[in-house]
Amino acid sequence: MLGNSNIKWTLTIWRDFLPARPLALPSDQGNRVLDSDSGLQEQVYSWRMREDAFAGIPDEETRKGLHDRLLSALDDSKSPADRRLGVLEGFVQEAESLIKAGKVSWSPSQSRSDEDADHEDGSQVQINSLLALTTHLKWILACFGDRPGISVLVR
Amino acid sequence: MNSPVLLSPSQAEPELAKVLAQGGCRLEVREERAFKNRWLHLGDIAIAANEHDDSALTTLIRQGAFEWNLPSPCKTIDEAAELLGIRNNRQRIANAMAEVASAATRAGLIHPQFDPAAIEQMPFRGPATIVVDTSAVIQGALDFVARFLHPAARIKVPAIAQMEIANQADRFLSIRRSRKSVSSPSFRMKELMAHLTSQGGQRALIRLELHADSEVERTYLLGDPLRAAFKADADSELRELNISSSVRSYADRLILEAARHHQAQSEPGHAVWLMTGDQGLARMALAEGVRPLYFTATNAADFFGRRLVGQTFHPFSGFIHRVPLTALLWELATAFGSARLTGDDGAALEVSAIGENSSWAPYHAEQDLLWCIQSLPHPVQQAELPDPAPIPNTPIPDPSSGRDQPSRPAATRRSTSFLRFNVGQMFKLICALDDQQELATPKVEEIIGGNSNEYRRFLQSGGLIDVVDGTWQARDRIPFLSAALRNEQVEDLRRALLELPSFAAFSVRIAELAIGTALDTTDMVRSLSTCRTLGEITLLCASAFDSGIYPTPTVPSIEAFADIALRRFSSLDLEGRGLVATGEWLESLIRDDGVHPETARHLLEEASVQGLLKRSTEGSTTQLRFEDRVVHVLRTDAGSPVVERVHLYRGDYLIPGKASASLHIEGPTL
Repeated sequence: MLGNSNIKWTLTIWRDFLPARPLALPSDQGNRVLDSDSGLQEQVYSWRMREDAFAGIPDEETRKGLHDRLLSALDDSKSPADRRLGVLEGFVQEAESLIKAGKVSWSPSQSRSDEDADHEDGSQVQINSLLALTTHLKWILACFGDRPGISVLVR
Repeated sequence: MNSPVLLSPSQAEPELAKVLAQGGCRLEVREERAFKNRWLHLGDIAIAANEHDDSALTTLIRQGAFEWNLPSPCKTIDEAAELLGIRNNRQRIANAMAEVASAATRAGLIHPQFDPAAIEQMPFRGPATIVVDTSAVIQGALDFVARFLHPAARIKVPAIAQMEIANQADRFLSIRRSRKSVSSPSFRMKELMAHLTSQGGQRALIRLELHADSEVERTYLLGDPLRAAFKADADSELRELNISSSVRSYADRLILEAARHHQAQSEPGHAVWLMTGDQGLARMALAEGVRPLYFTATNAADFFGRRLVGQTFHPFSGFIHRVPLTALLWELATAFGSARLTGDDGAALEVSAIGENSSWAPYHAEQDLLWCIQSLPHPVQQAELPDPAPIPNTPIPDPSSGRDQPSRPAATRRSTSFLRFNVGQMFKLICALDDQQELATPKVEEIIGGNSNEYRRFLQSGGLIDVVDGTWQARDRIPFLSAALRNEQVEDLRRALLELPSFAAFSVRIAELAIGTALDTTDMVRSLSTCRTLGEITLLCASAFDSGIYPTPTVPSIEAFADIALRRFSSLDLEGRGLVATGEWLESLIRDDGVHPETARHLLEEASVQGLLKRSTEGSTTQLRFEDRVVHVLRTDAGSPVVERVHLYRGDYLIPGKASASLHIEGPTL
């Protein structure tokens, strides 16, 4: 079972950062010089997921599997080389196959947006958060897909 | 409704609900001449509802709670080829079908594919101006900017882009008027393309001008070159230049010049971007020192075969962004001429933007009215229609109640103990009752655009109306309430509303809170937005700091306010820059001093006039991350009350006409 702490997470896109000049990072052991070989990364996009992306999957095992495929496979314990966009693409494909197979349903929204305040005359908002998420991730993949040195972090 | 009637998207929602009564429907479009009055199937729409009563469906339609299951690209192209009578040249048909993706982009279901270097800059942290070309208007990139990057990004539409779209519209109408076009497949293809691009582009421009909360600026009009670009000039020197024959590159040149002109006038640090989906123009801009905001339009192969949803995520904040089903329908109807949704039982709603017998007037555009024809259910047709893709209704875990318990269907989960309605519509209804004294329930539902049950219960609870045989009769307190609304008399409005038990109970809860204590809203999920809006309008409370609702009973004297304002400003200006975000200052006044933004706005002006403080604003960049910090206020528009959402972090709230988002306050010079 997934705890509520896992509902909200942030997806960030990073790219290889090659400093034009060497940089110094002071520490107790003296200055550490950072240059183009230091594997520095620069964050170029950040996006907060405010919904439980997996709330619409009734099957516990499927839900956990998909959750791990995103949050565990792209966490910061992995090196950037292991967090390339291909991993995200794999998640999107798996999510799409579940949606296509009719294994994902609508569920009550977890967040209230700015727009919600304008729409007061309805019931609690229902959302297919996994479908909305895959639509968004496909856009990210389309925008960043061809750019070299891109990695993804989810935490 | 069997004959065509003009309806706006919100007026069409209840009619659409009848079509969706069985849960799903078939989406089709028609270009009456190119398709010879036949319909092109564009997939199936399924609504996220477990129970299909009209009121719930109307809400879901408005909330974008639908899925659009698109057919495969091959199937769509084959079907379009058959309708157009074209056996080869599939690429041209694919190009035409890509315009369906453009319509979906304009509606907001998908986004344009941007250059990653441009995405890195979004949302813009500094002031920026985006100059758009024709492709940006037609392919939905302009709508993306207006929807997600405005107001930090200012939009400039060069006159030449408007002219190119006007030219396309003229070309479309010329083809349409030509009698030979119907018989020739190539002419029909040409008519379809001209229709899709010109009408879609014109709608995007008109929508932004008349409906969207965005400011579109026009650039300097270069008279002679424009004329030469579109009309052969008799001047022999100009003819020798052959300007008229290279319209395309010349138009690009003028768009680039518009960007360069603006860049030359901008302050250092003010970024000017040229938004285009044209590689040639993007390269030209790069070579001449203008930053291109390049995007790639979605092609048919990447678009068809997908499943799209009306509730997407904001690409930068992550909040839910809703696209009502009517927005999609209106966009497709404008692009193709007509769009139709047909339910499982044969009930249908046909929406048309153009037709042999359809008139047009400017007020249609101003109110976004299109011609609609509703067809009643037809049992015979039921067996002929294919099954729409159903949205599974499998019981799903309710995150709020623990995952092990299956949730109840949405309709039964609702509590009836709280009233929930649209406050703006309620105000409109009260004024209509004052004007008419009596309204039949269908008329009431027409005014509010939905089910009237909760409106009736709210008004009856305060003894404001009697309902006799389906007729709502105004009682003696309605004129007082209506006058308070029409004259923006907030105190009178509050006094009148306190006679309604539910509002009175809410005001007691607010009054019991100490200043700085947020309201516990756990037991009022359903009615929260209604209570919050009414509370904010009547100055009882205001929302601040991530949706906490705080009491705002403090109405200090002008002298006392000047002291509070200065003290609060100093406490926020920790770095001593002399500037504080307007929203931060207002939110602190709400939470720490119990002062409502409307009170603060009024007293700040008074204190300034009396010389008790000096206030000024600086900087033009609105902090987009705080775009959700709003407060609802009562305003009037042409004598009618409207509920306006005021963005606390936009400078023009405190000082009208000033978009500056940072505030400076200092005491009087002694």
